[in-house]
Amino acid sequence: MHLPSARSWERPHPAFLTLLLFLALFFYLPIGSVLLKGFFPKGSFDPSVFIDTVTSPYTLRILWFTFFQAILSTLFSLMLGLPGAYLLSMYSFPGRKLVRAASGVPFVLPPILVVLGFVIFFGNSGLLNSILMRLFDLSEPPLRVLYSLKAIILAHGFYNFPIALRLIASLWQQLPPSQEWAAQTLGAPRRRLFFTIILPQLMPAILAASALIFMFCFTSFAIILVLGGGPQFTTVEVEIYRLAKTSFDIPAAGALSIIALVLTLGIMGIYVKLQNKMAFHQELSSGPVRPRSYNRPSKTGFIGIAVYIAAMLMIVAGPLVAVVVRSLQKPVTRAGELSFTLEWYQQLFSSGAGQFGRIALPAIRNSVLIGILAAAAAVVVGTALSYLTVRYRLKFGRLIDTLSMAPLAISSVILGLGYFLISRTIPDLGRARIFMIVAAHAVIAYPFVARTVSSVLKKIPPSQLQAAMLLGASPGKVFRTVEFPVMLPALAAAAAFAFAISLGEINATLVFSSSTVTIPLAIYRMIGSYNFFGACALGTILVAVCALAFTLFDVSGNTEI
Amino acid sequence: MKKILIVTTVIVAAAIAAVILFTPGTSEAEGQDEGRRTEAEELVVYTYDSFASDWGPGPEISQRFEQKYGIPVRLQSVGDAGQVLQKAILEKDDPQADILIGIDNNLITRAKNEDVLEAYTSPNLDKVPQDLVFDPQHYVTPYDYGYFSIIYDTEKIDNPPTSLEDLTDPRFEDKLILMDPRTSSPGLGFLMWTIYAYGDEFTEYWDRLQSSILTISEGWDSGYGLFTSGEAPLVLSYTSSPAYHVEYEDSQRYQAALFEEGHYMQIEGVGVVKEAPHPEAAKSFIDFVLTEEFQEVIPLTNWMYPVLPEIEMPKSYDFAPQPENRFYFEAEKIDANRDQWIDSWSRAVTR
Amino acid sequence: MELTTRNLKRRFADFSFDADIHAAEGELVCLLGPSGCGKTTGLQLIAGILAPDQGSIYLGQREITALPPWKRNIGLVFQDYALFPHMTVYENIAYGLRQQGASKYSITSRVEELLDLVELPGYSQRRPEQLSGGEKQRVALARAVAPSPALLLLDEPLSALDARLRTQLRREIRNIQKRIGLTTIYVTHDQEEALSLSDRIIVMQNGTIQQSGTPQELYNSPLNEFVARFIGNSNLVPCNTQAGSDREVYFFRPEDTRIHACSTESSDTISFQLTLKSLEYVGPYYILEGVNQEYSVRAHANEGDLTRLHISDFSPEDPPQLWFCIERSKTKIISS
Repeated sequence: MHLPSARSWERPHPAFLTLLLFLALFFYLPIGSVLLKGFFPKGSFDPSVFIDTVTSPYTLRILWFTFFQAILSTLFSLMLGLPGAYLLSMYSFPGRKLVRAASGVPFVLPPILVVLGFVIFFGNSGLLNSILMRLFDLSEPPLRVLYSLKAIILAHGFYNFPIALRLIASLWQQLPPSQEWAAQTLGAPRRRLFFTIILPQLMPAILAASALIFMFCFTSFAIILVLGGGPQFTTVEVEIYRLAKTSFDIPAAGALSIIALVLTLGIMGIYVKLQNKMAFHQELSSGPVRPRSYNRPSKTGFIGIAVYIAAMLMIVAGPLVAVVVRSLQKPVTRAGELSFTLEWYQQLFSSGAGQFGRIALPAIRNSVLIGILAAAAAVVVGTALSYLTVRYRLKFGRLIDTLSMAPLAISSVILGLGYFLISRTIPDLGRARIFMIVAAHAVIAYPFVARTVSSVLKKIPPSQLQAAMLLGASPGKVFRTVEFPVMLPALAAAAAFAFAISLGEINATLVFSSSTVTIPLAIYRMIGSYNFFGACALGTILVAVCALAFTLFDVSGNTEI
Repeated sequence: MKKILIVTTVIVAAAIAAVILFTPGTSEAEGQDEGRRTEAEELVVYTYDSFASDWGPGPEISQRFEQKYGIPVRLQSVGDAGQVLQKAILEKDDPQADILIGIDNNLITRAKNEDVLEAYTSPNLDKVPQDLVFDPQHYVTPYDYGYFSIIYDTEKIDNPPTSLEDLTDPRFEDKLILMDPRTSSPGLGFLMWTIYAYGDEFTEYWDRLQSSILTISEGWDSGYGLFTSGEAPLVLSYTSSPAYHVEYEDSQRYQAALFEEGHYMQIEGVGVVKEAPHPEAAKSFIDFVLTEEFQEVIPLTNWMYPVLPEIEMPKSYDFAPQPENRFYFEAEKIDANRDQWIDSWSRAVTR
Repeated sequence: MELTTRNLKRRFADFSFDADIHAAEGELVCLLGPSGCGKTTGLQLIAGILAPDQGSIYLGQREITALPPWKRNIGLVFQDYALFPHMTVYENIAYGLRQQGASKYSITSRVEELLDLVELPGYSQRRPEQLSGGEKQRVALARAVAPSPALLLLDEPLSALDARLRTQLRREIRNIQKRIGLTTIYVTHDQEEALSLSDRIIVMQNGTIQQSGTPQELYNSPLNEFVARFIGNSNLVPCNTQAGSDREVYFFRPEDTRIHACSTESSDTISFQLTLKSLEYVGPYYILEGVNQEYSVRAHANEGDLTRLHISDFSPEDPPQLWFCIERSKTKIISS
């Protein structure tokens, strides 16, 4: 169904051209400069590299596996996120705010810390196994989760469930409770109520979350190799990395990226179509608000909540806490017994020669600054883009909508490479380099903002906008006074995520400009010089910065999600 | 509502101001443009991250070079060794760097083919053992080397593996962490090692090895992290790794297993960029690399062996044994076969 | 079906509900009170959205206290309509019928029948977003009535609509309710709505019942000051008779109050001498308000009264003193 657009009679403001300029300059140009090498390997048109890549059975096999694991991971992340979204939207319980802020944290960890956290927690000699071994007096570790497809899915769930949780919860909370009550009094028991009333209305958020999660899992890399247990689980990203960085075969890397991009955009196309079909105007409720304290979970409800929280503790808190705990330990005996210490933090904050403070402090500062600017840029770009696609009936609206997701489908190695190639042509880069990193991070993060904002924007009924305009408000004023306040909670959530994406980003930064030290880069360097404990300490700081950001954004968004 | 907008604007403005005011000079080797404008004689060195980092050899070595020759050194870290070469290739028409550090036997052929280096024979090269000079035309001068090795955890392994073949023994089932040759240089080194030892039958060896492998990580970092977390008692690393634990943690828990057939080597080299802006200073730097002043810094900062045999090694290197048998593939052979080897390997391990 | 509750209680942090609600078969009972008085809580307890702390609820002979909402067979209509936005009008109305497992044919004919009943024939394929507020509420009503519930609950169904639509729709609701003979509880804060619609009204305040009775009983004989003030316009003047004991007030209506130039105090009349504060023309009559330091009294007057009292050219700068008189038979002494 086509949505009646409030401004279909109006042409987009010329200011939107700046948006296109930004995307052309900071996304299409750098990416194009790499991808085109797939067709122009030696400067002239030569499709042989591309054809070879498309027809190779090896390529097809890894493509298949990449899709397969991304879909499984997406489903698992949704499974983890949905009950959490339910809890957050329905019940008030102690620590609710904390849970909400903390739920954004996994997202920010660089993959290497996720891998370490998982190993420290789930591994053969990990926390979980040693507890079980001691409890049941076993000689062999009972839980063998790691080094299998299971572990990949688990880690991807850990990484991505916050997206599902937060996107779905922010929509769920807006569903008027009166609809639920109406359905119940009409004879629908809880389960049927969920499937006939709640779920269909959550679909826009579920689809948006699925699309994002799918993309993130599609380009996942370190997690798949290490936790999967090796090369039998090879994804496209691994191959692109190898071609671009080990074999220096940029044409082949470009060709493979083109194939991956075309396929993922195909999926995105289907998704955009579905989302348009399922979005409907929901008047923001003026009816009774849900009396949170009214909700007393039933006995089975209590068990469900307990099981869910236990699972969350295992999958999400476990690896996270493992990293934090490791940062407070040091080995004291040859056998590797650990004792409590603050040594690593002291090292991080002392800036003598050879001390980690020389790298950690600038890294924290760089990361926070880049994160703030990238989040701001991503919010502007993402909002403008979603506005363009939702509010105006453009000729190629759906195509633009689909293409806007492209940065998620592009390997960050390729993006970094593109920036690298472009930056070469600018002689005096200097300080602008840091702004280019900001632009790269903004490009990676804006699809996220756009998805989040679109799902809210589509819910504002055109009658409200028309009413405002008839009352004499200019389009700009309508945006400020009607749309913006409604979007604010979603914007705040999206900004927090954009900030987190920027904080955790490593590949593009590394490939483009490894001389600008960010926190993840510093973590890699510390691990590279055997300092795993220090790396965990810096990782803990990263987590803290991120949690703080999520708390602040939640507060400033003045919203429940 | 207005308040939020104002606060946000202020934060963003403050961040922009902070970037403009504070970032130059904070990250190492930033500010390419400044060097250009002053035209001062300054040696520009491209190298990999860990070499240039604060606890790598970079800072100490630049300082010593400047003291000796009065020429300041600007170290620019550009990612890993591959990116060092890549950047030089991209700048071929208008070279910015004088020196590339980190060109090893995997990269040398590509460097030659792309014609980015200039041959230079340092008078000091005589002091280097002949088998370490991996580029006979001296486009690249070796400065340090190391051996790939399996490191084991003495708390968990009583009789360590003694050869590549012994590594396939059932007693090591799911106990070995390796790295992926497609994405990591130790991973590639280990693959070469097995090819050197088994020739065309290396895929059969990998078949036998399969059951011992717990996981294959994408990089040395996560693989070694898994190992020190106690996840597995065997990991692919360098013979010098135990020395680190002795030096900084006073722990002899981790030891290198010496293999009967010998160990595959990695030799790192330094080269002068073709049409370098400062060719004379660059040549002085190559000479300097083969002096004690440079070489003695290497063991405890880059965790490799210096190429000059006379350098006195730190005490901790007692735990970094030198194997009797050492070998590496000629650069041309690597370049001709690498992709095919990796493909065969991929097929073998994914079966 | 008859609704009875016994000893129904529910406590919240800052409020507790303690009231029993009764509606006879086919009766329309209004729960009337200011916002926050507990009327919606009462409705939610009956619907099963809230669980009571104690007490029991009976629908006919059946106890439904422990039943979940979907087993109670109660229809519910909300102020915000609560139409399912992802369904058409047809699907909305059919929703409850589908839950009962009705056949497709019977659903279709039932939906048609109900659309006729709420005067929206031909609307079945529209979506909620295409309906006006009044249309939405009709659909919501049809939806609630569709599964033939034993009891219909309406929670301020008209307060989101404009005044004219409100009067029109309330008449329709009453007609439909009478035609089906459906026992109905109607929550409102609008006393005029309550008076015009109800068989019986229950006035609530702070979670408890202040008074319950027919509209006439409540209008003519309020039990206390709260009810008196809430229903209709009323004059409340403190009695000076029993100092020290519970405060009591005279209650009388402005339309029964007469105005004189001098005192007419007698055994069957009470008079208050007050300063005229305002004179207001409302069409059929004038409203005069007289005040002193303690209280004010309103009275209705006609042109003739104004001429008789020489106050047609009333100016607030020089207010006349007047006597407001009421027959004792038309006053009640109630506790405040």
